[in-house]
Amino acid sequence: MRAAAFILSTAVFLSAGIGGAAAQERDAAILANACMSCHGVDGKSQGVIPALAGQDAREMAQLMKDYASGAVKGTAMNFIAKGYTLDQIDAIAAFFSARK
Amino acid sequence: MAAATRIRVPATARRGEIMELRAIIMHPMENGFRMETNGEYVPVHIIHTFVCRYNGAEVFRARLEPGIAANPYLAFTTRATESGTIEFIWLDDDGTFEVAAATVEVT
Amino acid sequence: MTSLTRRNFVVAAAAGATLAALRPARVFAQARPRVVVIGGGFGGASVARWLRRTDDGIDVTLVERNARFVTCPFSNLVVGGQRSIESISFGYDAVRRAGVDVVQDTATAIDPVARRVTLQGGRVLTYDRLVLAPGIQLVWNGIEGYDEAASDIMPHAWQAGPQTLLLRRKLEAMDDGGLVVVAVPDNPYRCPPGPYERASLIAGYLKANKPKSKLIVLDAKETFSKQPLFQEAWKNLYPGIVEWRPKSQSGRVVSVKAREGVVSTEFDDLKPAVANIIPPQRAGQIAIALGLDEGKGFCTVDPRTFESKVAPGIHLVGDAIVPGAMPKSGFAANSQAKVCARAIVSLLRSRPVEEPILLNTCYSYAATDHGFAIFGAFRPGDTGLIVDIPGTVGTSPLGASAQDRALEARYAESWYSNITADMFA
Ligand SMILES: Cc1cc2nc3c(=O)[nH]c(=O)nc-3n(C[C@H](O)[C@H](O)[C@H](O)COP(=O)(O)OP(=O)(O)OC[C@H]3O[C@@H](n4cnc5c(N)ncnc54)[C@H](O)[C@@H]3O)c2cc1C
Ligand code: HEC
Repeated sequence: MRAAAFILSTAVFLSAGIGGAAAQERDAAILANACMSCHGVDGKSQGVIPALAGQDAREMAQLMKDYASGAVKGTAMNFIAKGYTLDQIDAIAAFFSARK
Repeated sequence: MAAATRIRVPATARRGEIMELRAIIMHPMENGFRMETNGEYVPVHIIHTFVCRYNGAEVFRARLEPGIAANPYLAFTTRATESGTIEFIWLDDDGTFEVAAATVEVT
Repeated sequence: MTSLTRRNFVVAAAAGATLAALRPARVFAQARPRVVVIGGGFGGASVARWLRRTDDGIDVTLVERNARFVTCPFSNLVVGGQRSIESISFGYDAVRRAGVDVVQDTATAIDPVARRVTLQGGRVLTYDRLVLAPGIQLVWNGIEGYDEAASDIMPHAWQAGPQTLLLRRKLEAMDDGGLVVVAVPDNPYRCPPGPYERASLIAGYLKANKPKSKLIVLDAKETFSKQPLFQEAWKNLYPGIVEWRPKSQSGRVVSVKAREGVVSTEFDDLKPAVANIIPPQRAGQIAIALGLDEGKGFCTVDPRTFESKVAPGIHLVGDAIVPGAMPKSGFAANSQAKVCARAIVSLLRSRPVEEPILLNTCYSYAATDHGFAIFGAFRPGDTGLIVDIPGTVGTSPLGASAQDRALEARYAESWYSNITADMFA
């Protein structure tokens, strides 16, 4: 039991040590994972739904914002993109952009 | 107002048996609280009374109030006594009424 | 100084296997949190996979009674004869390869105090956190006379597998000119648009093979999901074949006499050649047995962690929960599972629980080249239920071109490949 508590505390220590980037990645993951039901795990899609892995983050974020505003017409994305703030869109785009 | 009705009466029943009777009328049952786009309330317009008669004798009556949903549906029971006609009557507060009837053979 | 000791310890830990060497193996094993997941469908398989993807320091055991999972999504294409059952069946090999201990057995009892699960085969599993994703059970005799024996004659096909094939065989055996009935229960039931997709795909089969036949949808409701889209498709694709009767037009099925082949609504007796009776439903028995539904049929959960409001330490996802504004769909179960898995990791690792956004999309086929969908994004609401995010809920447009419908049918296929790979590849 003591051992368990000790390892738990080191885990907390470790994750805090990695700092901002990892925490941001975690924040984006809770949002990005939901997209993967359609776009594939890590944005690697099978079939006609576009893959998101490795896309340019800025272009992807811009496209999301255009889907949300209706400037670009699609199907699913015109509804789904409206669910996120601009910051969340940027974080999600960075997340998928980093998947290779 | 002329409204569509549906009823269900068993074709046959044994004397003394409890029969389930069912009746529905297609009716908006306007409760008077609904506002139109011009800001005026839609006037109350409901079925206010429902009666069921078995060979002329009343066996069931219900008073309906605003607040009952559209297309009111009623299911109730009565004891089979003799072959004959079962009538269902809906009284509309616009002064009209609807009647539907079916026969039951009691053995 | 503890922090210094800790730092040294971290250095040792970072060096890899040394940590294991420092401690007796048994103690080390105890330090790995254990999560048991019951039910290997859309909710459960997803929770198991996403626990491992999020933190591979967690031991995950998945208990599923069947060796293979047949998805309800796309099973209407099997009923309609447009797909094989093999193409919608999945084994658990990849789940095992991902480090999940998959146990083929049925969970029969849970002791939430001792944190133990008993399996039919006699095994007992202990857990730090438990996830229940048992899906639905059918309420036998919820429609008078419709019990398990009756479902051999009048299949429900609402749990995919043998029932799906039975319904298919009955349609194949039917003579041209026969009447098919699809009976739909009142809400809530799994997959709100599912019955109407099924009616469409059966109509497609009838039109091509048995054109004198007719299909009547007997509905216990007055309206249904994606109604204008389905009705538009029925009018354009299957004129004179599909008829829909809502509750107020004697659509609600109240009883069946399976042996005599009679389906009775409030005011009519029908004698269809093929009857597909979808009965009322409630959460899987394992959740009901524990009282997690508080007698209401479905279980209330915290929308950030999917932890039961009744039993701490027990999480639920999928059809067994009260999903607020989300429908009971495989998509929703998968989305909830991802949130649940991350919340469990956060709780086990003493990290704050994150604020989720959940997604759902229900694609439906009116024909294999005619798809449309309802979309939505959701978040935990102030009342503790899941609510929709304004502006995100909507459907494909009415009056779309054949090309647009064909494109959405292909998106649906792509979604199916991706979501099943998420769980089973
Ligand atoms: C005809 C039809 C079409 C559908 N189409 C779609 C669609 O296109 N898109 C969509 O998103 N959704 C669709 N759905 C809905 C979807 O199937 C469900 O919402 C989804 O399966 C719910 O996931 P779940 O994990 O809650 O339950 P399930 O996927 O049913 O999984 C439950 C699993 O738990 C197992 N289990 C239960 N109790 C125990 C126990 N005690 N021990 C061990 N194992 C146990 C069962 O064997 C089962 O494998 C459809 C449903 C139907 C019926
Ligand atoms: C229901 C399935 C579905 C979900 C869920 C979904 N998408 Fe999409 N996505 C699509 C489809 C389909 C397209 C093609 C455009 C359209 O029809 O809307 C698309 C297109 C895109 C594009 C444009 C890609 C390109 O190369 O053209 C981006 C970016 C994108 N999605 C991001 C996301 C993100 C981020 C999420 C999660 C917040 C998400 N999607 C969730 C189905 C989905």
